[in-house]
Amino acid sequence: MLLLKWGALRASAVSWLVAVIVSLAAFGGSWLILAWSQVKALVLAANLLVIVWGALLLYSLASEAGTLRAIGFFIPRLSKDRSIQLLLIAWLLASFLQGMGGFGVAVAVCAPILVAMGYSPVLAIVMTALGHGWAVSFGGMASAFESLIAVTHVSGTLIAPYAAVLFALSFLPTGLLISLLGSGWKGTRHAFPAILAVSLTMGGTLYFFNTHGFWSLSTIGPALVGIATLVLLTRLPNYRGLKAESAEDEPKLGTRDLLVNLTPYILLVVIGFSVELIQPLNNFLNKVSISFHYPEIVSGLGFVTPAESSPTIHPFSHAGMVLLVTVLLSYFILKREGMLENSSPRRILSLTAHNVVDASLGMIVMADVSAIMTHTGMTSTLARGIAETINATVFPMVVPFVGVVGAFLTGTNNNSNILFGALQAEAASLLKLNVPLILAAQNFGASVGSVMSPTKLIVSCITVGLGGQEGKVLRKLLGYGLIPVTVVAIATGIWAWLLGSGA
Amino acid sequence: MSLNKTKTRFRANTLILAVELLLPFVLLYALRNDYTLLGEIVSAVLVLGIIFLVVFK
Repeated sequence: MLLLKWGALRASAVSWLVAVIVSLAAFGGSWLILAWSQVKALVLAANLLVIVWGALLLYSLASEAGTLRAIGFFIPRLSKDRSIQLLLIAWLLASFLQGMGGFGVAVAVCAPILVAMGYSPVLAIVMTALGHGWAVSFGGMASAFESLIAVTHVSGTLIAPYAAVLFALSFLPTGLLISLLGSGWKGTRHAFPAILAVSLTMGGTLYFFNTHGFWSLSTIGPALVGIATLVLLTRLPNYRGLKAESAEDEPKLGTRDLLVNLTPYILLVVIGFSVELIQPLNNFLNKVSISFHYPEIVSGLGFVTPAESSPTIHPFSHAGMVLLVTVLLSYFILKREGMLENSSPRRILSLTAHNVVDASLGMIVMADVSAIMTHTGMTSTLARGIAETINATVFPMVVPFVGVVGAFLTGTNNNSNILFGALQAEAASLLKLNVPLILAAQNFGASVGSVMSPTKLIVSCITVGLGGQEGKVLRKLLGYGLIPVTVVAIATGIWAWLLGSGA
Repeated sequence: MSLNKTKTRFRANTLILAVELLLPFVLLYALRNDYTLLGEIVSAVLVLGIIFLVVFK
């Protein structure tokens, strides 16, 4: 992909053709296995695509109404301390925006603000990308995390606590790196207590959300708590900062304006929590369910995929439905406030459609590749090869980097999880390692790797006028971005060893 | 890239997306009812869609 300068979609399609040819030539594949694997892949992808489409629709609505711009204007004004402003924008606002749907909006909103504050465009992109690297997996209603659950059939409730701890461990190094890059050693020393406090509160919130099944809000929740923590800290004398002179022509944003601009996000949180927490409502919505039954599939070489059912889909309590209801309610409120025009729906749908098509095709084809590999025994063969060549002590430390490579090449956290999730789970199982921990580490690597991928960097660079200079940004981002991944890799290695030794 | 070319590619990709989303359900129907020929035709169309992505994307 990098050498031939192919897009992610073409690379996925080539991978699909290679997987089909290899399965037919060497793994006893047949058109029947191919057909069943495609059906299963489509059902898996469709379940995730509904979330991606809903998140994109919400992003398009917010973009059309100008709420993202307004929040980007308001957040830096919460503090007058420059090092706190930097953390608010590059780390917390970027994470919050990623939680609302992602798709490059975090960098598109935050990097230009940082440039306006006087940071170089390269540094602005690097700091913003570093800041929201952790936020991808649980952003957009946790579609990437859901894809990991779907391909591995490991319960989300088992993976989520491990994921919370590993993701939380990356907070401190991430905050410190951003501060170091933007404020230097002196600024970092000054901001250290704030970074520590935010890391702890965000980590605690993330753990609470994940262990209570609210992982679809595990980016927005911690990011909001992080913003609130930092705003509270600005009341301390040390973080009050110098009084800034406000320009007379600067637009003012009152509390009501802010609330109106936050409408889509407040509604998303309220509806998301209501569906999960109000038990009678949850029971009522879960009355309708869809599940497909698949027969046993045996490859020409005797590899057996047992008969199974697809995960049960509850359409009315599905994250995609939560997003759709949020979009509809937000539309009526924002329209009443005069923030949308009569022609807005057409523009919203057009923007959504243009973003949806390529992303959806990429996901479907990648799910197809994963399904072909799983059903013909290719994944199993690769996992056995890994288990025989890498020992159980080293493997957990390699896992997050595999996640990074997957996301770097395919451009998304989702695709990395779909492509490598089953492989990582099977290798972990053969090495007698804790499978949920390994999957949590894969998920973290894929989350961070996705913000470094060339496909995303191209879009990021355009937003600050750096089109064509992606290489410069990539070199810097790879150098710094791999630091949190290394921290998590070491933590995974130690944790897996402790679990393995019965500690 | 000209605007027309971008539009054409977007339309072609949308068509492939629709095909990739809908045909597996026809495939599921064919598989459940042992309609081998229908299954083979649908599989061939799916493969052609992927080849289109490889060649023209």
